[in-house]
Amino acid sequence: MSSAAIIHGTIRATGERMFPLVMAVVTGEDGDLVLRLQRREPQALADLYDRFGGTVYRLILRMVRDSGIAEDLVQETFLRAWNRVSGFDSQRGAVGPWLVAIARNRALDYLRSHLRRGGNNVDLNETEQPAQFVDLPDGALTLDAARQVQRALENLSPQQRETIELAYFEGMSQTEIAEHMGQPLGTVKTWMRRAMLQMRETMDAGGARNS
Amino acid sequence: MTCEELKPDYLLYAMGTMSELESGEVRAHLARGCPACTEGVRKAQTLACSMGAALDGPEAPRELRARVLAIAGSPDGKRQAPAPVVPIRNWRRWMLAAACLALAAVPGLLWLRDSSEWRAKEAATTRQIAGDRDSIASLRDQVAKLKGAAVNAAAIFALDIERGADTTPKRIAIPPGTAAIVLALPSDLARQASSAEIRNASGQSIWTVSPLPASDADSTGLTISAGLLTPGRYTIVLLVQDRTVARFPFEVAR
Repeated sequence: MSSAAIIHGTIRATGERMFPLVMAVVTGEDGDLVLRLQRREPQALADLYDRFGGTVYRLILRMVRDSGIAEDLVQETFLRAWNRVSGFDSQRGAVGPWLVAIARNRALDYLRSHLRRGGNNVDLNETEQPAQFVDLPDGALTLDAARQVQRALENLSPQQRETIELAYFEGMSQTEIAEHMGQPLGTVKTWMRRAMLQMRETMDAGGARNS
Repeated sequence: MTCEELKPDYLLYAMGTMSELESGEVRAHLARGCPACTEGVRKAQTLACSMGAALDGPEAPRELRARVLAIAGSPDGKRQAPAPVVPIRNWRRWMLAAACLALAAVPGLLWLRDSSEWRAKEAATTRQIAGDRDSIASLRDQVAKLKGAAVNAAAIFALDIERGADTTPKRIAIPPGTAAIVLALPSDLARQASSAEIRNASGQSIWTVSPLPASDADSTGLTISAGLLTPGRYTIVLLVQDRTVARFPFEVAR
């Protein structure tokens, strides 16, 4: 059973302008989807794509900035998930976050190999092991979570935000970020640590308000 | 490493952007069963995932869904594996067509196309082109100048300089009944040589195009790519009837 729905419509703002409204509603019924993927049901792959394909595409496109390459990497992402889902815990695993991790790793792998970016040489496979996505809280991919992240990023100073974005979207190590920004490594480390603590506090505060 | 020392680095660890040494320390700490840090890393993983999902941007192309679903059509998925991502994929496709065009008019390209040296050069450049995107952007900007340089002529060509999702057609005007030649030459050569000499030079990239009927609008595209070029300074030269209509410099960065 698909656990996602997309609502298309329009919303009228002040005045006469109409704005498109596209809202994705995603619920947390990952277990059933994972089981069907493990049974190699083609429709399960379709459901997985319909739920997360847009998210995966936007993330990869943001990172590689080339639509043709992004499409190839999206296909690689789903192929990887399809071939590795047998090791996924259908009861406790969060398939969306896992897929996002695979997508990001595909893009990072591309950036490292084709743009000769050294990164930190961490084995990307390790960060997408299915076991890493056990018992993650539901809702990491919901609109509410997205809003919270955006709010947390907006609350950072420009330098802090840049360091986080360079690390996440460009896969840069702290040393590379320091070189990129022309700042001492210690300064960058301080910015990043403060940024991460501040983001965590903002997210926690948001979670507390929502609970 | 203590919990307090680790706490600011949860997200770095979750993003996989720590050094192997540092992440090894975190793993060792987590392996000792520290509940606070395990929970902290779990939250950081959620945050990292949300960062990836919190992006605005275009919808995925409709055809992509079919490509992805084709994976399930193969028992092990492997037969449907996408080709390795090559950053100049689109350029390759175009280049094939462009090479065919140039073949008819520029004998020098025969040598380039057939020789093993050309193949080796292509392979080397394929690796380099990924780092040359900024140069392509510069090229794109410069190509816009062609439009102004030949604005009084009659026939129209579209020049598409591709840079990721951003493909902007540029239109230049070419006199009807003539062939236009677009060359990418080392700047030193382009600076010193006359138009006739340039035309006869075996530059690294040469494209020859002829105006087509207006009704054949789909086949009038001409794409200039830095894909064949090794790093260095170049000049793009547009020749019409041995007359240099426009030239502009660009650099392919190392």
